[in-house]
Amino acid sequence: MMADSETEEIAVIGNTDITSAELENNIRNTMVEKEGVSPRKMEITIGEAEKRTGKNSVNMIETYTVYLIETRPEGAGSEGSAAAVPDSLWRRYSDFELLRTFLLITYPYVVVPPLPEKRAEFQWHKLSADNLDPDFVERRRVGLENFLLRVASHPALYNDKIFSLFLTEEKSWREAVLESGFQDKADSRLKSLSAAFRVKNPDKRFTELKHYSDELQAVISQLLRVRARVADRLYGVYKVHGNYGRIFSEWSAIEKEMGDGLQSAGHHMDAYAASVDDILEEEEHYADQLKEYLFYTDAIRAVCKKNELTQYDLETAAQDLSNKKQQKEELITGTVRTFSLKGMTSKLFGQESPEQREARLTLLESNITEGEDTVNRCNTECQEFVKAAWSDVERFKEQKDRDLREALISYAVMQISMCKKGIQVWSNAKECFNKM
Amino acid sequence: MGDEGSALLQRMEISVAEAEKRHGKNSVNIQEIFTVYLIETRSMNTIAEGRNQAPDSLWRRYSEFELLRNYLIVSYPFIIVSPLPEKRAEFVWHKLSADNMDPDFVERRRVGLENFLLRVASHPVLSNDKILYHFLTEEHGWKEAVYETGFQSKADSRLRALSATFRVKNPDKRFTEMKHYSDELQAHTSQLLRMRAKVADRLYGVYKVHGNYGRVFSEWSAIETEMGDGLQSAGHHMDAYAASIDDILEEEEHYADQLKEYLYYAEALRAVCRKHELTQFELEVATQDLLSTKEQREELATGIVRTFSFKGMTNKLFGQETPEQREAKLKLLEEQIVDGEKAVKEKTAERVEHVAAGWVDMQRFKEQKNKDLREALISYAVMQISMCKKGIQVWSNAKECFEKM
Repeated sequence: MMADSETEEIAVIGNTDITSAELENNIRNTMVEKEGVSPRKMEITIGEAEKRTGKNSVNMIETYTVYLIETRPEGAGSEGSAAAVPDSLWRRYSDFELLRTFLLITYPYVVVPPLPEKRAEFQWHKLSADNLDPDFVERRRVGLENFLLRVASHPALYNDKIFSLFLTEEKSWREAVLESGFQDKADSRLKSLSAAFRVKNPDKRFTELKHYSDELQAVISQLLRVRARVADRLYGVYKVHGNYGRIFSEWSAIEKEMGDGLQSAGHHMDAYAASVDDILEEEEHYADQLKEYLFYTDAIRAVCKKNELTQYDLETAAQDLSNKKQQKEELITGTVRTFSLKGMTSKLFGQESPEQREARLTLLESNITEGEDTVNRCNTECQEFVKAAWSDVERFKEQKDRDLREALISYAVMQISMCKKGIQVWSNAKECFNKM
Repeated sequence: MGDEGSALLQRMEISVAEAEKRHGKNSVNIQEIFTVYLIETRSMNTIAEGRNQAPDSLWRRYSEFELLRNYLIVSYPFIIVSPLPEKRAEFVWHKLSADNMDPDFVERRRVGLENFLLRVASHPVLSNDKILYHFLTEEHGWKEAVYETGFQSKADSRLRALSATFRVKNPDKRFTEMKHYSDELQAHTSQLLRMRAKVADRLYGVYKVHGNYGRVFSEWSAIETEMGDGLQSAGHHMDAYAASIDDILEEEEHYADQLKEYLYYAEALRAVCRKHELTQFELEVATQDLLSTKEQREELATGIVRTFSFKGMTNKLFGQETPEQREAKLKLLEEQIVDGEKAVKEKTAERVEHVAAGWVDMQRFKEQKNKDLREALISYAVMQISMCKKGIQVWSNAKECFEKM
């Protein structure tokens, strides 16, 4: 059921023989002539976070956090020109959510990078689940910056006008988004759900991908849960060493010769106990990297759903066309193969006149022509979608393998550094004991 | 037995080599299972001469060690006698069994019993004891020999000791200080042991949860194509890490045992203090008795009644006694005074001897304690360092795995 009409644009992004780097290069070459700012050539950072109070939609005072987005043309700093000072504006989390929703709807074939979590999950005991907690805000700042960088380096997204405005226009951005009318393009949830159940021939690769994303989600959630448990217990181990410190101090008071040594030992224990805070703060960073991919699975599923929807539309259109053609045949030959109201009323009230029949035939023929157009359109849409989406999925896969590999390596490096610090602390303690 | 003052250990190699289970009937004729320990001894001369002779050996059970120690405590009350390893497992953390039949517990007890023998055999005073020598060299007939010494009759009644503690007026300050010190030592070592059990418990948890990491990595490797092998290997490394905790904590148990020894030493210290209080109290009582006897004699001799006495009252009521009666009483009192003076002299000598010997042993103990605790702390730090090094190894392997993905 797939036609093979292709436009040049599709030929570029649908060609999976070339590497992703060349792919990106091609996009840049074909798109760079378009007007508008090219954020790829921009440096984007989220410099700070601040608290604000204001009235929300139900006219109640609320406290919320805003983030300072700073942009600078790439390499401007090194030139020492006046453009060294970055442009900046403030955005809150809900602005980011709106941007992402816009991108999801406007580019349904793209695996859109996720935002950092709205509320703290997979908490271990010590961490606060409070959204206003400074550590949470700081981790969110990093996550939002990461989101912007990912979008800005995505071949399909970076050139979007709304995205550019997000980075440059503080006040009028919301209106611009809503004016784009993107909400009309959104597929109703009900329709998506229905398509998921009733589609007959989805692309096998997307079905597999959906299963993969479910499994990846399960695995990463488990990892995060295990990690939270390790953090909790590790914290406990270190902190109990603080108790050792206290006991050694008390003991030093009743000893003569060993007094100083025990006192020092106590201090080393305290230092050891205190070192866990930095360790676990750093470790939080890797948890966040894992969480990003946890949330990516939602984005993957969204693309799969869209595939099911387009395929379903195509199947529905084809089925309609088939029905109409059959009706026409019945009308011409007079053979009633299927039950129809007209057929029944004909039987009851007598055949219709030749003029009536002629009129109906004409109507059917025009319906059929329309239907054929629809099927062609759906077919094209489907094909285009599959090509574009699959190319992005390939890109995503490579990105994922790269990122997860790096995250795991970094985690191992962090563990090694933790052990080295431990060796340092205990070597100092040992020297202390030697001198007693 | 060699010259006086040269410790047994210098002439003999002693070890508790093995432990075995035995069946037997106990005192109430019920079948029981108990553990016996093999004590091996070898003369140092034999070793020095290079003769590779097989060691002499005999089997002893824990209750016999207890009997030996009780004998030593009663016979040498001014010596801080080394404690035995615990009768039942205390300060256990979650995973360890509190079962006396548990092989790990038996092994640790074997080490503790050997340690006890080595300590006793290297003590300047205790090592010369005949019963100790007998304990190490003759399996049968030892119990009878111990009872024959009649040491049990020398044991002070607990009630008497307690009473003395309350009523003594002038105990030697050094012993009082030592009693306070032993209380604090006990408090600190028990706190340390409690902390340690908590740390062990949580550390065990941390390592074992890494086993969960291993499982998740394995499951993940099943759904990945390129990263599959790397994740699988990483999973194995996590499992290895999780398993390594068992050896670590077994080694650590050793340091807990060293701490426990000093926890029980506190009780030995208190026993010496109690003995001092008792001797001092007895001396005070004897002195007081002598004093009042002398007073009575004076009263009788001079006729002046300074204190209330029943005799004085009956005299007033029924008339004075005859000169013969008075003479008899005076003689009796004089005899009592002589006895009393002898008793005071004895008790004073006992006290002086006890204090001197006790003080010497206290010094010896202090030095031993400082040395041992210093070593235990160093060993603990070394063990922690080795633990970190193992961690580095595991994570370096995992890192290599990840890099190859």
